[in-house]
Amino acid sequence: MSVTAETIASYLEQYGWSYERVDDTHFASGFRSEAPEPFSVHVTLAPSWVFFAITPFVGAPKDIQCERKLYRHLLRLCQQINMAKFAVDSDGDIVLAVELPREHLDYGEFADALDALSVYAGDTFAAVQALASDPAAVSAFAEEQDLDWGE
Amino acid sequence: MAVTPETLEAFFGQYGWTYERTGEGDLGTDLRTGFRGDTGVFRIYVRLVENWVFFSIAPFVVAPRDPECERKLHRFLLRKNYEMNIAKFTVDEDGDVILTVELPTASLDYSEFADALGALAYYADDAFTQTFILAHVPQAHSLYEEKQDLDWGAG
Repeated sequence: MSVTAETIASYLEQYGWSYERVDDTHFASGFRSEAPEPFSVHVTLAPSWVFFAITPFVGAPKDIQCERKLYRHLLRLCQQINMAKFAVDSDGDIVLAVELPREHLDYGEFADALDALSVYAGDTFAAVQALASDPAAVSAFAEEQDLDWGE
Repeated sequence: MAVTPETLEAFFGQYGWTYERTGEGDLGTDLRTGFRGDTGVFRIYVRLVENWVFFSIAPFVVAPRDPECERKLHRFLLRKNYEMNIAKFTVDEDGDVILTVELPTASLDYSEFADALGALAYYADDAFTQTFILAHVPQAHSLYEEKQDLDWGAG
């Protein structure tokens, strides 16, 4: 059975996050971590999918050097994380997203999705923010590569 | 119900694709399959570990050598990640591009298994030509850059 907006509302309440029901298919919520600003989480019901996204996770990089390092870092992170992925939207902003089939979505899966967003956001934000804004920032993956070369 | 290598073999039988069981060890059980699409022949690696099953085309495209190719390619892959459902592009430590689907095994049934293979096959065929060109031709433009140019023109 496909979950409804009412089910999503009840799952958010069970998870203990306050939320705003923006329209019939869209919920806005969020959480605080060690990052300076709270993260905005959007939960959207599509015909076959439920999308969970922190958008924007980090604003679009302004510098081409930042872009180059940041994109590679995000794609390397994508290989390491389960359930979630990084993406770039049409404005160039960075998005952290989880998507689950709407059919049979139970509370455990719903909670896993929010857990994944929270954990990965907390773990990766500082480095992603630095790479997006500081051309001199160095990705941990670039450091690993340098170590490989040194061997 | 726990998903075992035999469960995956039964799913492959139902899906109608041949497969080969290629390994079993501490890292999990590995199977290999593949398909011929409109744009190429793709080999799919399936790895079953404790709580997850991974379906990957690796390498989907080998690492670009030119830095400008890399920047355009990576932006394209991240834009694709925004549009795709169930699948994602990643890059490994060598810079090779991987197309992957990962599913939790807790409630994995045949329909999810079929969706995973269907998604990999669809997105591989859909994205291969553009991904390959962006990885190797510095003058190539991604379809997203063209869309952006059109947006600017409209402003």
